[in-house]
Amino acid sequence: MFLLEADTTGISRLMFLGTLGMLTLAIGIIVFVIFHQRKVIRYQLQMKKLEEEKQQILLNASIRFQEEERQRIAADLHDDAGPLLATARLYLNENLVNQEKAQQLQSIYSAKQIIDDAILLIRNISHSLMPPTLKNFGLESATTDMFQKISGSGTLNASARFHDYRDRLKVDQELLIFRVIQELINNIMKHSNAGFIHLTQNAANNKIYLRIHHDGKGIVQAEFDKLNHNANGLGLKNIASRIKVLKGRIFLK
Amino acid sequence: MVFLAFFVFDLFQIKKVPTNTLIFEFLFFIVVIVFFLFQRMNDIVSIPISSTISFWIAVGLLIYFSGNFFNILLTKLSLDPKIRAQSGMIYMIVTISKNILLCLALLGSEKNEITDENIPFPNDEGFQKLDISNN
Repeated sequence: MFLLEADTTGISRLMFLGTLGMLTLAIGIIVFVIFHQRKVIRYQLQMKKLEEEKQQILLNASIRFQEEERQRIAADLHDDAGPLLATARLYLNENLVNQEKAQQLQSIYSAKQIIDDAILLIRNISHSLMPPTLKNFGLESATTDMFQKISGSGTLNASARFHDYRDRLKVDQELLIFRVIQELINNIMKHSNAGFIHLTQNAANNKIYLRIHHDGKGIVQAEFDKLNHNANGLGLKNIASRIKVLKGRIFLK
Repeated sequence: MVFLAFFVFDLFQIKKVPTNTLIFEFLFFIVVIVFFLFQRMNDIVSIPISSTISFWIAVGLLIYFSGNFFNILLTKLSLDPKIRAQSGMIYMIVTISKNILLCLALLGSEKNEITDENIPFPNDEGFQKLDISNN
């Protein structure tokens, strides 16, 4: 080996420089580890902050949605059920004043019809809160029913096909999925100007896949994410928060 | 297994001091410590790595092994007293540095380490507890 022949000064210098080099390398690695890890921590904190902001937006959206829903129910009760019941009371009051039997019968009949209308109205409000078909017969029936109603209105052709839905999910999960479908269909009807909507359900690996496609104007994933992070777009935030509760994912293309 | 291999190799070279196996051992430890540091760097995401005991122990050992590497490598090439003295000085400086770092590591109190598997991200338990059913 040539090193064996090297002189003492050479070995001494090589030892000094080598040790210095190794120590510099070691310190370099240590400094890199410290700084890189700090960078990772900063990134994690940023991510955490973003996640918190997102949670806050979703929470606000869900509160706003709840308030809007309450306002809608209050308006329905106040504007529709209230006048109906007031009119029925007027007819019944007339009975106390008017003693003529034929007129009494007429006003009782009118009051009965109005009360029937009020019952129907309250039933419709109740159904809009929790569709009875969904509760009693499940997601498949409720969705098919909804699509049939849309198709029946004649505005667009809607069809739903469930290929693999043998075991029902929990009622609250079904309700969440149903609300997501409702919101998506509502958006398609409102904004896309579609001629048909088709829903397909499949299941694989303990997961349920729902595919909705239409021939109207749609949005892509990037737009959905953008709208979802905006202060506006309550419906989309509701979709996102419901899907989050279900631990699911939504893809738009 | 690696240490067993070193032992067997040492048996054949027992008369030579320091042996080549020592150089391989040093290299092996340097690689292991660097690997350990990189792994810790990726695992710990909530607190600075420098506030953990294991980091300073690893740093102390890395300084020791890398500082003494060339010392071990070259000492056997010369029996000159000047080289021996220089080697001894390097050894002492590096060993004292290592011992100081180990003492500091053991004196310091470690914060709770949070790895990327248990990051306390804002949970969505609130959503999961919502009773949506009308039952």
